[in-house]
Amino acid sequence: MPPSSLTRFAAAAAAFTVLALVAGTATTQAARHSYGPGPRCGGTLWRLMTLSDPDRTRVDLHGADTTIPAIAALHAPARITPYRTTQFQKHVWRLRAVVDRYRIASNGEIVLILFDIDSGKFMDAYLPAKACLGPAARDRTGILSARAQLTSRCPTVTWQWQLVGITVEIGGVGFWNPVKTTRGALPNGAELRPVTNLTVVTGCGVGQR
Amino acid sequence: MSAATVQSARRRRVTGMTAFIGANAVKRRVQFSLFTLLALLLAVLGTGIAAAHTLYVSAETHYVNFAMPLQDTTRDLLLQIEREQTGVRGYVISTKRESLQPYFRGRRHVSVDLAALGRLARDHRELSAPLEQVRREVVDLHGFYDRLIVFVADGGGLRQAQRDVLNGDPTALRLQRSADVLQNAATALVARTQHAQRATYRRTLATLSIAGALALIVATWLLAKLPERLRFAYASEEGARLRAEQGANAAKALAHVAEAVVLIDDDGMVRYWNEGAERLFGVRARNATGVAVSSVVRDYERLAGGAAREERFVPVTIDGTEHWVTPVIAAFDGGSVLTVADATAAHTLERMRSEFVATASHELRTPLTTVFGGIRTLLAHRDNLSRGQQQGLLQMMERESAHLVEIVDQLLISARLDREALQLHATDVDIASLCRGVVEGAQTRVGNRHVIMLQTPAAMQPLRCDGGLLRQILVNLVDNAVKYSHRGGRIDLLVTDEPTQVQIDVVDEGIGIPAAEHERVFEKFYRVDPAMATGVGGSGLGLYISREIAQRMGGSLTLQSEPGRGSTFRLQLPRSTD
Repeated sequence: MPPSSLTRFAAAAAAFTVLALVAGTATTQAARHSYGPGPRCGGTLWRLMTLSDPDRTRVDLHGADTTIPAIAALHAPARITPYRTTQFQKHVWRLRAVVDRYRIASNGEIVLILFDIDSGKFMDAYLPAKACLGPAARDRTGILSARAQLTSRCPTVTWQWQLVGITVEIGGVGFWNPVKTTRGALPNGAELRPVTNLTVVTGCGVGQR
Repeated sequence: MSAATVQSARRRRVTGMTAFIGANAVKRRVQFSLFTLLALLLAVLGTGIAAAHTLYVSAETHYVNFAMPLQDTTRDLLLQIEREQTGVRGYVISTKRESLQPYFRGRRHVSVDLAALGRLARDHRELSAPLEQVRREVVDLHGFYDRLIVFVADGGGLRQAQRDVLNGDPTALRLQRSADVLQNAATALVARTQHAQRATYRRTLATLSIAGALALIVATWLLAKLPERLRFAYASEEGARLRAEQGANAAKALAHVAEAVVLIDDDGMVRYWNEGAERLFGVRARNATGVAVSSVVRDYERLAGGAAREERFVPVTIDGTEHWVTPVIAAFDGGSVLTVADATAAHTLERMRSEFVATASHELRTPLTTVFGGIRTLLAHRDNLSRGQQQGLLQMMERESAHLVEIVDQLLISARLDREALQLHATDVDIASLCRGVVEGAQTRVGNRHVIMLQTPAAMQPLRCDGGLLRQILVNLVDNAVKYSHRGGRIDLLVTDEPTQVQIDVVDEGIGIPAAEHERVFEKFYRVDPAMATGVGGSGLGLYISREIAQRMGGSLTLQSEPGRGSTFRLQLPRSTD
């Protein structure tokens, strides 16, 4: 190799190393400040949303079969607190539904709009971001695994709503959301949050040739 | 007996035995053949039933319960899929949920059909893969339809849904192909089932043919052989029955013969012991049978020896009493038959006849010799004898002739008694006068050697009886008393007249008779002193004749006597009531 070329290669390598170090440092600092657990992951109810609340141990993770119409028929509590006051909040509910759309929220959680073919009802379900799951989060593995099931098979989730149309077997902890303006939200605010189990039955490449 | 005869007899015995054994063999053969025939018929029946059942079950299982439902269900599945497709397409076009009703109904039916197919394919592994493929295709198709439905429901995806519908439905085509594969698999399975059924049918037919042929062979054999075998068996059994009956009759006859009959085998063991043997030897048949004959019959060796020498009388002691028997032994192949007749009475008669011959010879010869001698003396020396000597000789000859007549009369009376030819001529008899004549006649004969006294009632009614025979009795009794009385001894004739009978006692002071001889002296030819050691002669018929006549007159003659104290013969004759 000629000396001039060697000099240029060394300079380029040094510049790349410096840029990599700067970029790595910036990324680490941004993560520490942007995705740490806390109210940013869901406001005052973030512990319920991430199964990190004090009553998390009272949740029956074995789950019970249900449907979206059945959940839609439930009555929401008059006052929603950071505690699990209803049976709906103390169980994992399993159902089969079609994922109409999904998107990733600003705190990194993925929002699924579930659709029940028979009743024509929509309902929301949430897959928390890894960063929002504190060390006390229960069934952390199940939550992350459910999220990985979706993200590993389906097109990349973006900030925008995407039509998906996949059929899933989904399970999640009952959650009453006081905010009922989200797209696909049931009138009573019932949601599956966090989603602890997700299996793609068809769609996203599963069963399709 | 010639060798040929012996061989023929032996052959007959062997043939008879073979026939008897052959009857059992035929019975076993017939039983075996019938059992085989029955087993074959059962096998044919069982095989037929099993084959029919197998074919029925196979048809039921493969056609009614499997092939037809599988075909129908698969067809219905495709139909329901089309209903779903119709519903979804209508919904995509109209966006109205009521358009989805065919989809919902079709989906429910599809679930039912898939469950039914799962049950049908549960026992057929070859259908598992196609059925699983159908399931996957159904799930995919439902996913596709759900995607379309949710897109329409979302509103935002309506265009995409309509575009997908317009672009066709490859998933439905795949499902159709998978259903075809499933149908083909079912068809192949049914074909294999048909092949298996045909194989089962052929095997059954072959089994039935073989079993039927064997049964036919056995039945033919039985038809050809059985009647003759049965006739042979029946004849054998009839022969055996006849032989057994003959044996039973022979045993029955032997049981009633007077002689003792004992069957003895080659080992000397008693095999048969009839009632005559029981009576003669005093041993029950159950105690004698199976026991050595020498231990049951103590004098067996003597009997065997006597039989060998053909002796008429062999003395044996049974229970301490001497019997005279006539033994006969007939040997045969396998043993011998000992027949023993009790000849004690014959032996006694024989002895008595011998004694009579000796006595009669002596009794007849003595007077005959006297008469013969007197006649010869008179013929040879008549001129040299004085008149007195001639008169003496003639008187002696007259006495001896009278004695001869007396002996001959006794013999004739005895003979008439034996022939039951003695006739009584009853008349009114003056007993006193008759007795007086007897006493005078006897006194004349004995002279002054004995004193004969008569004692009669002063007056007595005549007795109706045969006077001649009564006189014969009294003469016999008085002569008997004279014979056995000592010289000078007194003899009394005592007549007692009673209302119902007349009793005449002849009493002597003679030698007397032992009590053991009291009855025997009335036997024919019996003599107290057979050797005539006392020098007293006699025919041995006098007392026999006297008692027989007395009894025929309705009376009796009894004896009271002791040795050395004389004897009393009592004659009692009833008075006739008519």
